[in-house]
Formats: sequence, C-alpha cells, structure tokens
Amino acid sequence: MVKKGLIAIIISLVLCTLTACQSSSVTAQGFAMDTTLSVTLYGQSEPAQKVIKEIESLEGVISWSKPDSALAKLNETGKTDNLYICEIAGKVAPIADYTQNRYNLLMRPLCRLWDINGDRSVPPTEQEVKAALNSSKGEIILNDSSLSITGSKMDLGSVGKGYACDRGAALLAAYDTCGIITVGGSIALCGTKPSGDKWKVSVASPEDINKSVGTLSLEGGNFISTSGDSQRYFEYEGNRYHHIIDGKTGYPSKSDLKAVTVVCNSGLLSDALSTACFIVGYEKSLPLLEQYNAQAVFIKTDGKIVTTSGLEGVFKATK
Amino acid sequence: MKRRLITLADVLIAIATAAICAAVMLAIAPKGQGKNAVIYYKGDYYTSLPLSEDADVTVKGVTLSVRSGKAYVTDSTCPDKVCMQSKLHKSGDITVCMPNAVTVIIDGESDRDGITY
Repeated sequence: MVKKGLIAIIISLVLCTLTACQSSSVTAQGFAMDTTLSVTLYGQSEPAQKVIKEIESLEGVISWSKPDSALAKLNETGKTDNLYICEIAGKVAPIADYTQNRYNLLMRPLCRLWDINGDRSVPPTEQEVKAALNSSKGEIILNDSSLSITGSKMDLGSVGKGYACDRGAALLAAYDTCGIITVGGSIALCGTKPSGDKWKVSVASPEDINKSVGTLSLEGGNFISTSGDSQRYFEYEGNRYHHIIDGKTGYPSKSDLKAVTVVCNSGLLSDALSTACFIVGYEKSLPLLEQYNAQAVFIKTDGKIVTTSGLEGVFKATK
Repeated sequence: MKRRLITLADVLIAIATAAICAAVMLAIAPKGQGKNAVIYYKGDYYTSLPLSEDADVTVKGVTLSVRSGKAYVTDSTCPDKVCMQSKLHKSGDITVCMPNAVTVIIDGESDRDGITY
C-alpha cells in the first residue's frame, strides 16, 4: 500500500510538470490592416502561424488599399459575389439603419478626404467636406449571394479587425487548443485557459494604452472591440480630429463618449457596434446593444465609466 | 530483515522525481525578471533592448529609449505621436506606431491576457 502511495506521488509530480508545460503559451506576431496582430496559444502552437496567414490574406480581400482586392473590384465595378464582403454588408446593414446611416460602410470618399491613416494635419475645407459627403450617399443592394453598390464606394475599415478575429477564431476551432487572437485592439477569446481561470482583458485608458480603466474577466467565445477618439487623430488649432467620421455631418463624430468597448459573441458585430455606439452616444447605444445581446464599457467625456448591466461582476474598474 | 514501510530506495526515488520535475518547471517557467523591450516591424522581430540598461535605438523612424528601467518612444516621424504617450515597464506593456508599422512589447508573463484600445 505504501508502494502504491509512492507511485501516486510520482505520477502526480509528473502530471504537475506536464500541466506546467501545457500552461506555457506561445505567441506569433503579424501585421495586417495597418496594425499589429498576435496569436497566443496554449496546447498546440502550430495553428498560430496559420491564423496569422489567414488574417494577412483576408486583408487581400477586404482592404481598399490593395488594388486586386475583392473590395477594390467592387468599388470599380459596383458588384461583388465575394462571400466575406456579402456577409459583412448583410450583418452591418441593420446597425447602419439604426444609426440612420451616421455609421455605414459606404463612406470611402469621406474616409479618403480625412485620410486619418496618412499625413493629414490640417482639416479639409467646408466645401471639400460637402463634396465628399455628397459622394458618400450611396446604397447597398443585397441579393442572395451577391451585392451591388450605387452612389459611393465601400470602406471596411470599421469592421476589418473584428471580422479578422472571427476568421481566426473559426480556424482555431478545428484544433485542440485555446488562446487569444488580437488584431489591433480587437480581441477574440478562444476556449478555456488550462488553469480554468477566465481570460483577463484590460480596457485601456484613452490617454495611455498601458494604464487600465478596468479589467474584463471573460470566458472563451467572447469578442471585444473598442472605438474611441484617441487611437488615430491629428490636432489643429487646439481641436482634435479623430478617425471616426459621422456619415451625417461629414466630420469626426461628436458625442458624450471618449471611448466605448463592446463585448459580444461575434468579432464583426463587436467592431461594428463599437463604432456605431461611439457615433450615436451613450443613450442611443443602449437599445442597439440590447438588440444584439451585447455588453459595453463606456468612457464618457466627463471621465465617468459606465457599463451595461450584463458586465456586473465581469468588469472590475481600476481603483 | 524486518519489513520497513518506507525504504531508503523509496525516499531517494521520490526526491529524484521531485528534483527532475522542479528542474523542468524552472526551465520552462517564464522569466519574469530581466525584461526586455522587444521591437517588431510589420509583425517581424526586429531587435530588443534590455530594461536594465539605458540605451536608444531607432527603428523605421521610431526612436525607442530605455531610461531607469522604462522604455518609451522619444521621437517618431508619425503625424499623431500616439506611440509616444506611454512608458512601458511591466510585462505585456505595449506601444504601437501604426503609421510606421512598429510595435514595442515588454516580454515576460503578463498579468493581462490582452488589452483592448
């Protein structure tokens, strides 16, 4: 019986060691959609490079800046049957409708005018904004497995990172692994950590990415995206011009929000909803989030942090 | 010979197993101390600076400096200078210069799994 006890001790020591090996993680880095990607996996680590490649190749489909992309062809011809673009447009349509098109996917002329990705450091003139606004009043006509656009051009910058998280998570689901995918500030939580603990996601302060306004403790299957006025902007004569354009005014949106973080079961929706909520402000965001069973952390311009009720016990504000 | 419940051999085996397991766990344990600021360009590893030594390096228009155990961007050719906002010192701390495609991360095991921004 004592010998059995000794064997039990040896087995448990070895299992502890193996568990420690299992709970070490491997991270692969990449770059796409003008931002940094990373895939951190526990268990099998080879799928990490596959996810990086999948997301990098997705950019070749949905990026306006790649001349051979399906999106560029759509903008040139007015038609596409690309499954990714059709899926994105179909799912975003009701959100765009809710905002009365203050958020929508046909704002390429306005995005190009404001050129936030580039070197613009002086705001465009009123006439330039009016002209771009008129060129951004288009329509998407959705068919069964294709779509056409009229009157404008499509820009998927507001949803690309979230959608990339979906594609990455779908690929990972085929492997016996768990981990976290980040595309810029959009995050996919996949599976359960070997320790059984929840995933911890810091919600960054708009002033300093490494200062946290609080932490979300979440299970796998959740996707997180944030929209705010501090990620990309320029300042001119004391005013900040951020990168999220209001489709009604043609100017960077103004609301009572400095940033909003959305949590839901889809990367595409978390990204689209965070942009839409940032544009429409706190009060109008609530019914929209409820429709999608999504939760949010709002950082208001007065500095207050408010969350939807579903984040009670999930979001812990930094003291 | 009297039958002992635990023999010397049993004790030695248990100690040896524990020692081997400890050695393996130490070998694969993340190195929390001795952190580095790791610089990536377009997702590829470029170079790194240890936080233990004051130094400067410029990568694709982004100048990273280490002073007194903290790494921060002291100059950048990008228009918005968002990458210059933060001082990095904890594992997992990050700064991203999107226009120049440069990312800096402090290595080691972080207390966060991810940062949303």
